[in-house]
Amino acid sequence: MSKQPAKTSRRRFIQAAAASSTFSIVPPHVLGGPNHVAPSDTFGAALIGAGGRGPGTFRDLSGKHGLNIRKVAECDVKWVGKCDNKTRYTDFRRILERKDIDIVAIATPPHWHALISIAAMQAGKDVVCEKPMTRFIAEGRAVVEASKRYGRVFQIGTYGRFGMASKKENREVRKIMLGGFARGREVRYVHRGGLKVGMWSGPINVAPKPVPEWLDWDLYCGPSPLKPFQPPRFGGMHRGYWDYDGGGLGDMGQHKFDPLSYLFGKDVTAPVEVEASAPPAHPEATGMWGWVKLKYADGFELVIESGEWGKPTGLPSKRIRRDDLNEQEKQKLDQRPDPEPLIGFGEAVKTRKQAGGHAEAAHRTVCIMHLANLAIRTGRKIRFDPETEQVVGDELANRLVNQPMRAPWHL
Amino acid sequence: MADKTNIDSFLDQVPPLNKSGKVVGPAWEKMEPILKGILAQGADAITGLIDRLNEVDDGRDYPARYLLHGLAVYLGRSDQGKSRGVYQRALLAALASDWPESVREFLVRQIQVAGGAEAVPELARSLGSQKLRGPAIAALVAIGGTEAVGVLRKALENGGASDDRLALVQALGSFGDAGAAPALRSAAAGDDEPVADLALWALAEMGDAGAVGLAIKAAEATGSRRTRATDACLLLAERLAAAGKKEPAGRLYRHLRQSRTDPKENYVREAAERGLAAIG
Repeated sequence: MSKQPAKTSRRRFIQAAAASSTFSIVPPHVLGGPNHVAPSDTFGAALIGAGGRGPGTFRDLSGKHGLNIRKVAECDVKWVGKCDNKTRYTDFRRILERKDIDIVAIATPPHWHALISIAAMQAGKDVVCEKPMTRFIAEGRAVVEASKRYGRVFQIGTYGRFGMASKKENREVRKIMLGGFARGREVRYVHRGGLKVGMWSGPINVAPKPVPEWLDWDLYCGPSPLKPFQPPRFGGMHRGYWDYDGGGLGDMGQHKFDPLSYLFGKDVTAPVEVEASAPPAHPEATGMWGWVKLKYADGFELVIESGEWGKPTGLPSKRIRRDDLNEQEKQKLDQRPDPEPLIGFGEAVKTRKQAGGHAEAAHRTVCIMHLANLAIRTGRKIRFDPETEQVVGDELANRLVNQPMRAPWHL
Repeated sequence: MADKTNIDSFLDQVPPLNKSGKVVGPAWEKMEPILKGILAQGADAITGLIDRLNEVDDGRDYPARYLLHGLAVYLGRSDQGKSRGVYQRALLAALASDWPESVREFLVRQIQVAGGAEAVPELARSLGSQKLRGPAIAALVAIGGTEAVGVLRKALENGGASDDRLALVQALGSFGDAGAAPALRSAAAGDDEPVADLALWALAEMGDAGAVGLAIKAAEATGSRRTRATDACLLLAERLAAAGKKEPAGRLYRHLRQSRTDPKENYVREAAERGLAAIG
């Protein structure tokens, strides 16, 4: 897609602007005073996308995140004719207009995650967003920029990295990887199974049906193409259609790879080469695949095997530990700072610091799935530039990376 | 010349769906000879596949759709430029014919994947169809280049219904086409609020210094329009600052710093202060 080349320089500008104070300031409303809430006070919150995982995501605000929450409103496109527009809505935009909401929990299908997250942060809300963070790569970058621009807290709805970071040996691996000690060594992680590839492949022998009267189908489709209503496109099986998600890889990948992004120090970069073994993809439905190899600039290789199609790679995992380093490298390693502790969403909201599952980390993790799916869909090796976030030397593959949104929606 | 039997032989090589109606294969290594076989027979074979498309996409014509899409993706390989032209011309010929709009929509979506500048005139004609307009605009954005931008700009200048203009403004915004700035400024100052809001975003996206006054005026709105206009101000300021245009960027930031006095808008004032600090 032809986009302005100025994006990278603007990104640098946003980074410079954010570096001065975002996530390190304590804004007045946290300190108290007229019209402000103190950290111990109650936060108004709303749930956007009330089906499936939604109620659990919302409960986590007061449970896992330890916040005093007052539920103000909830929203779902399947409530046409059942809303009072005070506590229940069909249109998330009406919820974001409310000044009594500080936090939104987003649990819609993934094609809405980025746009609602961005709109919420534009309206001054902090965000917990279910996985996967996005449907394509440019969406994630836009969420990162919105988080920095407005100084809002973003936390992706997966928490495996917190468990990973709690163990000293894992923090040491991260320190080794961030120190660049993988270069020149064979370091590989092979992930096998658990990605529900067959389960979340979309069926295609489905006749279109009239749109149910309780469903706002146009708003459901939103930025994705407005297609005829086929029941599996709504309610769980949406994961199996490219218009809304990326199959089992999209659905489960953020859970599986987010801890690995932390462990191997890949929170601010992306793979540079990706290849896959898979059948050609259907234009509408996600399908089967065997394996994907993703290589980073430092040589680290992430191999993903579905265990559901084709033959496995036969490649073993090859870890790196302190004992693998020579004495000089150990000395250099000891001079490096330890990884900073991860901060939970609740603490981040109160202190205005960056949450452990922040937008940049979540974006870089979901890029693993997007790039893997791109290699699966194209059947050719993909070369990717982690800085510009564009495929190198393959203009047609880039068209599948960032797809135009249906008007009026835009990043 | 591809006859009916040839086409059947290609379709028959596509494995049936599994019992759940899902695609299971074949591997690319097995698909490639099928696609090469189709391409060896030229445009007639591609047209023969298009002939097998049904008006309703309910899976019954799955092999034909699968092969046509497989070709679109396969032809993105760097060594397939010549065949890509043959494929594209076959799709464009079908697009210009009297196929049902649902079939033509499928073809436009394949052009979005594999099409080039040669497709622009036919896509421009497709803008006249309500059903094809959205996919055609998406294809023009994907193809890019001066011809595609020119078609979108001309269509916006010709006016049209609000929904049509929204789609065109959105597309031009994603291009960052400076040549569209006059038409977008006019739209941003107009009475059609959704179009005006989107046009302001498009101008901000392209870093149009001539839109600073419009943005500041729009930022006085209330409700969700205020939020959108505020974002346009910040986006425009970032664009201008990144281009070294500190004065207009500073004007936008200062306006937000001074006007966002409600405690609930502290976060905007702080964003403006960060922007001002960054431009020095």
